[in-house]
Amino acid sequence: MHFADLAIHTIRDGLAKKTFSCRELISAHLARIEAVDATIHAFLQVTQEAALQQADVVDKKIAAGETLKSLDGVPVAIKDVLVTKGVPTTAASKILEGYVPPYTATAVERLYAAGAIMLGKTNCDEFAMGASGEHSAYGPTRNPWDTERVPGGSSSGSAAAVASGMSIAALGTDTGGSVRQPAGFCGVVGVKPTYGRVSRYGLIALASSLDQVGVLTRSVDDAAFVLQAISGQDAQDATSVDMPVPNPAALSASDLKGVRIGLPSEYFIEGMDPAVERLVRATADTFAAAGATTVDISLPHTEYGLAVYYIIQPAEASTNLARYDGIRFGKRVDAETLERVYHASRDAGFGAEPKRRIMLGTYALSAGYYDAYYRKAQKVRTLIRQDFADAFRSVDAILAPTSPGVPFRLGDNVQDPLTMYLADVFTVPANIAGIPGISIPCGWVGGLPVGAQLMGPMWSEERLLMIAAAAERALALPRRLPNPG
Amino acid sequence: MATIDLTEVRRVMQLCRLGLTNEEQRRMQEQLSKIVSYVEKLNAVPTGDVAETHQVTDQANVTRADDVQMQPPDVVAGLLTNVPEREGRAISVKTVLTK
Repeated sequence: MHFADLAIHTIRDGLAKKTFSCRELISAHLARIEAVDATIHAFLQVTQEAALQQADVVDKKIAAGETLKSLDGVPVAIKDVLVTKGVPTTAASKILEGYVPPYTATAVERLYAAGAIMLGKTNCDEFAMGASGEHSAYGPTRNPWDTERVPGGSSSGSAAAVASGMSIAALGTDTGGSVRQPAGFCGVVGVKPTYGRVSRYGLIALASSLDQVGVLTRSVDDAAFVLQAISGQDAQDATSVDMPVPNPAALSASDLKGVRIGLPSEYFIEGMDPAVERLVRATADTFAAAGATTVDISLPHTEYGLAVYYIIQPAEASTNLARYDGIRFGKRVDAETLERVYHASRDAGFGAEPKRRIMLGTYALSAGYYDAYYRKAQKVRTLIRQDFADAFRSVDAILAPTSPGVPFRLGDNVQDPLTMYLADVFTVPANIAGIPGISIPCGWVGGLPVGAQLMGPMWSEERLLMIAAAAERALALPRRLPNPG
Repeated sequence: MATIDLTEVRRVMQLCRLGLTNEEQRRMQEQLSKIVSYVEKLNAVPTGDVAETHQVTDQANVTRADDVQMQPPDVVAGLLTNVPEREGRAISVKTVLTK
């Protein structure tokens, strides 16, 4: 089985034509995990037996001549912030060690309903707080292209698992770039849908006005199939919206002729890696050669995006994380009084980054500071949304680097939170505005993958995926897999 | 640069129920001051009559009937299994009110 060539449509063909059985497909992925994950540490848990049992169910369907569903037999990995019934879910935090959810997140239920098979739960930054994967309480994930470097975060394990051939697809979550940035760092495709596109029922919340469940795959086509399966309104999540679901069938015929692509000057800035800038500009030239019209645009409030984000996100996180107090679930540390039980449990259970964000968010929301920080940020948020709305009057999509640099070395930014936060500078604006964004691989700098980000108007995923699929064909990068460990 | 002093760190710590060590408090003071100084760049943006964005999809008044929805027994059992200390179906906590 050649992992680099495996895609959702080739799996469907292979299973239907009995080139391989579903058990063989799943076993091959489990063997790949066995071979490389000791080095990469993408998985917190592998659900081997359940996966093989489900594979046998799919094989029986094939033997009985039943029609296969869109994702029948497709191996998927699930970020450990999405709850899975009967399978421990930790959010990569010690405070949830041993927690076994009694229900399954809607996005995961929908993958199951489409026939996908879960291989296991993936590592991430604790409570999805981080841009490197190093903030996991269970140890960092490594970048499969260079194991001395970070895979990005917070969906670190999901990106690394897909990049290294351990899974075909993975679910991640994106609050400020946590799907797109690791996708860029690992050389895979990462989709952050429009806010409200995918149900967040069963997602362990980070920042509720920003969080969205996203998809990581090795091709745009695969991402479209997975997104189709998980999209749509859900009565269990009042923020999910009833909008037509993107159709993967639209992708194959797409091209870039007549597509207007905006290049925002604020995303090509001093301080970013010049080689990354050159590569993303060359990507724009490739799009133009394929028939797109590239237009210089301005998103004037971009430089305030990160500041808005680092008020709103910790503020919302501090309220969401108030529920972890050692009483109803999770770690409890005994102490003399109830108050001290709370303090001791939270102190022992949370790592440094959640503590920092809880403190920051509580400070920003506390009496006397609310207007100066939170209310101010919510106003600038409006201006950032307006920037995008104005831009999308003249362009179909915006092209920008996913990150200002290539994957950094493990340990380089851990001691300096603000520098770590700057890794999200080009991804947070899409979350602030609620718009969809896709990171696609656009080439290599010094042997390390670089991602190009396409952003579109609210609910434009189908159009954006069509543009991304045409862009992927125009770039025609060779399909290959790293061989770590 | 905005400075958050140790008294402020301790006030916030109480509000969010964290028991930080002295060393953690010192580090937190330094890091929070740096981050807050950074976010204060927003003061340079004029926002006089700009409306606040609380959510981005313009959904309003998503409601449902106020009915009690009974959970299946396995969900209830699952929830109880996750409780760190309990007596039967009751969650045990330290005394809340003292004389």
